Amino acid sequence: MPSIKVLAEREERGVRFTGGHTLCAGCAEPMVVRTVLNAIPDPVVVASPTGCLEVATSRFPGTAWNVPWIHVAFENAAAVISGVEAAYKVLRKKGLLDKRVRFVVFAGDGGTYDIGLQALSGALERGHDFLYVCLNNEAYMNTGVQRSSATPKCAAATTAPVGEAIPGKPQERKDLTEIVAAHGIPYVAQAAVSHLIDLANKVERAMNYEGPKFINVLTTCPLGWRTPRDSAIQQAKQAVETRYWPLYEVIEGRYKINYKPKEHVPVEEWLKTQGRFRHLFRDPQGKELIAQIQAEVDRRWELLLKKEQCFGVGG
Amino acid sequence: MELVVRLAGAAGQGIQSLGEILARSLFRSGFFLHGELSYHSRIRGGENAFTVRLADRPVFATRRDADLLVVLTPEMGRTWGERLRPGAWVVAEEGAFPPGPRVLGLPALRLAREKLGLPLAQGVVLLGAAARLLGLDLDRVGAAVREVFGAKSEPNLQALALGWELAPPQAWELPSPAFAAGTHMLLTGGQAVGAGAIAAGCRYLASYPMTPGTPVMEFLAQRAERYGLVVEQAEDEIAAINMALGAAYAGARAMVTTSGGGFALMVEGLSLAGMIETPVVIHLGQRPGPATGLPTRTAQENLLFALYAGHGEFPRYLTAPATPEAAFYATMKAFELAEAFQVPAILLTDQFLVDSYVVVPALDPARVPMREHILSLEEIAQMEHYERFALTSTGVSPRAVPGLSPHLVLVDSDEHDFYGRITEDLAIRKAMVEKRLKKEEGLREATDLPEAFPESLRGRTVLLGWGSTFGALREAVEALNAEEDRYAHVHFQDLWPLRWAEVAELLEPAREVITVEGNVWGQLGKLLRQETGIRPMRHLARYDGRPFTPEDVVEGVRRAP
Repeated sequence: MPSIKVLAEREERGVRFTGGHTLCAGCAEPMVVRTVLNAIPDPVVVASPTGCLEVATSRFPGTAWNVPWIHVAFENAAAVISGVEAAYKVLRKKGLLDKRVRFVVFAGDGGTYDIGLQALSGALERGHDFLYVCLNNEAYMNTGVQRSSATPKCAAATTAPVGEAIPGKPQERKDLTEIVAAHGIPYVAQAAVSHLIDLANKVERAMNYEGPKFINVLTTCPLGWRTPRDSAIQQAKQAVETRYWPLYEVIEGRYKINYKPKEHVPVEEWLKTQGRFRHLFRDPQGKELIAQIQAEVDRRWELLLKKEQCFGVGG
Repeated sequence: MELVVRLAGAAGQGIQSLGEILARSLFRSGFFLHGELSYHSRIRGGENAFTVRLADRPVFATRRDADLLVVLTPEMGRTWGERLRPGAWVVAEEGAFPPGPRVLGLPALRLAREKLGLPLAQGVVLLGAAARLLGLDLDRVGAAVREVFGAKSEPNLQALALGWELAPPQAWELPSPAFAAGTHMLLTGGQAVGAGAIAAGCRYLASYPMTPGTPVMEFLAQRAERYGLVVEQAEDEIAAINMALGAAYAGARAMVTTSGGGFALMVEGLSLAGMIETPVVIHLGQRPGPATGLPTRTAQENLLFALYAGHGEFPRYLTAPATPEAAFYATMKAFELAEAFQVPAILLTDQFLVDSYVVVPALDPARVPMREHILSLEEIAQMEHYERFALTSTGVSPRAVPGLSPHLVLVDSDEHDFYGRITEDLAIRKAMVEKRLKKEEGLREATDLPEAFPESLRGRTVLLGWGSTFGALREAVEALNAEEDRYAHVHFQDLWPLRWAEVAELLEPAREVITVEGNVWGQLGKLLRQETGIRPMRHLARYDGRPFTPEDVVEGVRRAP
């Protein structure tokens, strides 16, 4: 498994994603991108749909990408990487290329959970050999915080505004990790920017498999979550500690929870540190809504425990 | 009399909020104004500029050069420093602009940090200085700060006062107030489209975020509860338009809002709307393409795309409002015509129009009468049998809402008979095509011809435009005519279907026609030539993502072709 030292050495040998981009101060995305790229020793081709990462890393006169990189439209990163992968496969078959090239998508939750889901599902089902990394910051941050289907219930977004009658987004977030797992692909995982070594390990394990691989990474956004700029890691960590965002893997259909918090930390502890949930702590109905959010966190956690029990690595 | 104030800084420095405060202050002081928002598609850094043009008469165009420049960064000082009028003032963050006469450098960032503990209030300090130079009333600007910052007003009010104290008083003679309080409104094009939708009885909006379509969605989402609208954010634009069509099938006035890329995904649904004769209003806010293009900039590249999008032949209504005020009424009309003729109606705006602030006379929804075009329960109760696609003299069939009567309401994307059942009877197919296209005749009578200024074009050189370039073109023609009275301005709002023979008649006496459009091809010029045989002599194009200013047009016209 890659240690921090190994990751750092690889970065020093050949930096794949440089600093100097224009992502916000305190944005968690570059940490995820660098960790993922440094965890893959082979040559890499990257595709990104429209999003924060794309606009902030590729602006004249610079680019943060030191690997081949293609920006595509919003809905089709998985489709485009399918084409790239198929073309490289042919090059190898024809003997024009002898090294193993790896294919990675970095996409936001809007481009993955919503508009890109059909293309993702198609690519997973066809079985292309690629890694899809969802940088999940739980809303459309690049265009000014519109809700996505990854946005948690009750979070404020400009298209799910907090008003007298509506406490932010009325719907639950989609469980995309499980939707992807249902495709029966070799490797699926959830990770968080607070656990970078865990993320690097997951990437390395994923790359052992031929076929589609998917990692859903919780990636804090200080702008959209309305949290202090120096709190990204703490925010993601608390999401894991409260069991809101379990770290787990589904390897060839076998479930493994990577980290089980010893103490039960109420999700309220996480919610109250974020401006997007602030109304819950002012509204008279807030207590009830927080209880509902807690119940959903508990339900999903219990379900995950059962899955691990029934379909665990040792089971 | 006019005065141009430009606020410029990096993204994240709150330029839009500063611009809104200034616009509100000027509006409350009784001045007409135009506010132009220009910004880079990035989250931090880059260029953000808000240009406010204060005037003693209604204005709908922006200006290239400013009388007062407020700059927060050296980069913006360099970018906009050349765009100054003689006698201009500059209020700048210390070091952001070279010292000189009429340059007021202020340590705004240091003051905001040290005195208020709020570095972000830097811009408000500079705004305070600018407000005093302009001769505005401090309390009035303070009230605007409260409106814009809400609970966060206190430190910003202090910042405003800090800047105020550091500036010399009034450098210009402002005009006297042009209108009384309560008679006028300050609004953006995006707000106008949203308000027009509410006034037209819109009940359903489904959309997917895409600049510059999103402001309309946000406007309606914030007011959904109050006005009884359902606002849904779809997973993509394919879903959005089909959701809207579903809502319209069930009787709701429905709308989508998007930009070119999203409209591209909606095209199959547009064709479906044509086939199932179900009304839907599509707000298409243009930005430069192809593909992602310049996401936060403006263009007029989608005229021909909007006109010809969709497979098969079916009627549509296409209109491009000239100003934010016109956008309100055009949106209402789009709903009304979509319902009356059971066709898709496309409202073609652009980033410039959507983000422009203007002062207009209070909007009057009664100006566009709304009628109910769905069969009432009484009407349908009297029908022995019901055909959703009955042949009529106008081509418009009676539209019933499914489930509200014993009658079956069938619609089908396949070619269908009068009941909506699939058919390959070729005689029926022919009749249905003719019926659908027949609707265009009625629609054509309901559209407006382009407006000519002055009325007689005899012997004049006509500047021909459409949509949001109206203000720039009108002012350019006024300026050109002041020197040599031989120019005219003809402006299209309604674009399809039109009584083209009358358009030809209108233009016939003109000496020559120059098209002025935010595209390379001269798309209106192509359409004009195709429909009337009139060939524009020249095309004045702008495709750098910026809006036309009156001076651009004047210079363009004077330049030898």
